[in-house]
Amino acid sequence: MSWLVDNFDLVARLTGNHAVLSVIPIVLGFVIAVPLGWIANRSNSLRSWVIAEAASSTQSRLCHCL
Amino acid sequence: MILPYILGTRITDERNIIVALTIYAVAMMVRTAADALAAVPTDAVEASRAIGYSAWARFWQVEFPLAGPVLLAGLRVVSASTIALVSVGAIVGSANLGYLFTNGKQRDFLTEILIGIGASFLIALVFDIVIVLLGRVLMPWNLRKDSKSKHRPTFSAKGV
Repeated sequence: MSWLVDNFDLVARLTGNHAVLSVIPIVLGFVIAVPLGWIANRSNSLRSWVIAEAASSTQSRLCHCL
Repeated sequence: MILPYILGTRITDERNIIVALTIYAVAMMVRTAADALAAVPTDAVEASRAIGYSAWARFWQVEFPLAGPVLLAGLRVVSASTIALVSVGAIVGSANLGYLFTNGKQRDFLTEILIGIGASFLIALVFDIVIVLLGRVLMPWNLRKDSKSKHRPTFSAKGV
């Protein structure tokens, strides 16, 4: 604990930088992913590319047809 | 390690970390976003179309709010994972909490590593609380739904 007291400036600076470095990817990731998810929902081919489960659902649909 | 060549940045540039983590966050979030938007009731979307919403207005006023809770849950996962992954950036010389891990390992000094873990946990906790509070502020109807379902039995009892 005395190490933390002695090096509090360093830890605080690292924590601040860590927070900044993680905020940007979280916000950017959200802003980019939501429109991508929307587009993926629209077109069937993209959907199966994004969501692996879509492939199994088409398979079950085929089974229903047969 | 390919990113500096694509972006034209130096290897120790922090922008590399930001871009790499953004790609990772997108990869995780797209799946959740697609699922969340697919789970929006078709009736609601069709109704808004019938009323005459444009595609843009329909997204912002119908699809996005209804997909909100699932998007929020996905964002919480992305937040925790990104905060954990930022510390890997210390290997390329970025000044973040990962420095405490590498330095503590080199010096065989456990306290430093533990403080790094504690500080990471603290950031993750604060971010999680902020995201949840943001969700409550932006989507107050989810809270109202809870209180309504609690009251529902008394209403039906009155009706009977």
